[in-house]
Amino acid sequence: MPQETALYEELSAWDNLDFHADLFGLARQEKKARITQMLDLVQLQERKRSRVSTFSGGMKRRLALARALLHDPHLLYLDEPTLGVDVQSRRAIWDYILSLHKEGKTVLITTNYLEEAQALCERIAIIDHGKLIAVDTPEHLKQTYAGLVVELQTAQPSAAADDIRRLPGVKEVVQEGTSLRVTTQGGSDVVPQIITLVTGAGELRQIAVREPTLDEIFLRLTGTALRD
Amino acid sequence: MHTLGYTLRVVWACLRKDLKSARSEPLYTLVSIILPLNVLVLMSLLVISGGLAPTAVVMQNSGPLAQQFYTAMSQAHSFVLQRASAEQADALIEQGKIVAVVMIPADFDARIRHNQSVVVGVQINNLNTDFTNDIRRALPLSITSFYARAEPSVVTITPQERDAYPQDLGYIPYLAVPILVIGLMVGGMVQAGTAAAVEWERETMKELLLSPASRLAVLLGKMLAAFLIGLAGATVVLAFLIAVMGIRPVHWGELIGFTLLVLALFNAWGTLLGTWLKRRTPLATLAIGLCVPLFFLSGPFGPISFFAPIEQLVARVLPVYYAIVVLQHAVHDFTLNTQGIGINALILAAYALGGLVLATIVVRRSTLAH
Repeated sequence: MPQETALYEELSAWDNLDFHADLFGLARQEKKARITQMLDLVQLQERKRSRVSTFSGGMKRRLALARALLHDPHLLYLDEPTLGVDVQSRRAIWDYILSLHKEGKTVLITTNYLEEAQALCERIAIIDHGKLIAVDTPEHLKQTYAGLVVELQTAQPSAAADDIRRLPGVKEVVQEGTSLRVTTQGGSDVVPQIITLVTGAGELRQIAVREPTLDEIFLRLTGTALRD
Repeated sequence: MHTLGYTLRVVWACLRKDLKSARSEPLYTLVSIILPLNVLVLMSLLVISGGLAPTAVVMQNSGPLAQQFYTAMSQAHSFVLQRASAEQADALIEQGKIVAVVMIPADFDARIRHNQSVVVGVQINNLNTDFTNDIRRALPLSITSFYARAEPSVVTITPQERDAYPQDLGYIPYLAVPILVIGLMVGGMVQAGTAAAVEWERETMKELLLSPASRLAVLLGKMLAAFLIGLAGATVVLAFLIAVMGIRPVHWGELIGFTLLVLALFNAWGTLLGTWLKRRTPLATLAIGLCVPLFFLSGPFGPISFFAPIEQLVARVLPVYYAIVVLQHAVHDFTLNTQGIGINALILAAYALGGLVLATIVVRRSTLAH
């Protein structure tokens, strides 16, 4: 399924799928049933005779997905499947993709939304300037390229930042006023030492320990310079 | 390897899809049907405007010889004559409504009877050399033909004419055929070309090329749809030629067959242009812009053997020329070259096939935007 929906907007949803079924040589006797099944799947059955030009962006995406699934491909390549769609449609598309995965189909997705990759993918490849930088499961990516993120809030700007940087297992320390964000490498062994250093330097008001997001890993690997 | 059944199914699917698209955009389809007629009318007006010179004749003598002179002028195939008084003629030429005023003097009959010289006054609006030269050529011709009839003993040289065809054909009926070809060209190319280009504009070509369907089957289906829509335009144009311009085709079967062949040819080349340009606006501009130069380069005014070698060479390269040859035969039973109508038709079929093959080569997955 290409990034652009590439539907015949002057035709109805049914006609679009009917044409696609012929292009892919779907058996005539199963064509009608298959189109009906796909329209049910993407919840467009009631609008099957409507012109696609009257559809919202989300409906067009769903129809494009139905078209991609119509000939029951073993490998499905989806190029930014939720680009520009509303939250409900995105959730629905995610559900379809997960159900395909459960059916045993291979789904390859390209996306700029890393929460989408997190929600849908077993393995993630990060590509920058056309080069493959990393490929692994989301968990391994987090473990390999960042451990945990410790976010601390102190009463006064903490003087412990430099000491924390020197701790083995600490990858990055970012201080902004009374906020301190420490990224570790590997597991949580170093977290008690960080807390000890911060409380020793002043009053600790709040602490949160979380996994890094894929956004943070992506930015760490690719940098923050804008891409064309 | 695609089976024949699957390939035919793709052709049929593409044909059906394009017809449905055309039906859902009736205004656009109507314009594309009317477009060839529009070209036909425009070109006809262009040709008609270059025809006969409007001329006023002031008959100061109404004797039989003056009448014969008037008749000789009217048969010179160069004037559109109207009788006028001297005052009316002055007003007409001042208003630019006529090219010339011919004054037949009051003593015209008497002087001729007495073998005296007669001065026929001619006032010319020489703004347009084309018309001016027409007048300068046609008036002496009228005088000669007048004398040949009025005084056969004076004009002793008479031409003995043997015609290649049983009857003369007017300028407009002759040019109606090249104009028909140009109408079919513009209609066929614009219809098929826009149907191809729109697949790129709407980025649906990617879906077509990523499917297992062959490019040839896809383009053939699209071409056939354009052909069927073009048939409506061709029917309108033929109806106009027959009903309005009074053309009476000699070989009806040939006319229908060659019209279909010519339409298919320009559908193929329109598809090629559409797949190459990938945009409707430049396609339409090019197709409409090409019609005038192709019209003049393809020998519309007579057999190309009448013209300079370079003009003959250029015409022989252009499919429009062969289309004119076969349709002149179909409509007027004229033979414009020595190759035979069958060979001319085969050349047209080869051009059509060539256009389709080239379009298939131009349409490649590598040309798609990512």
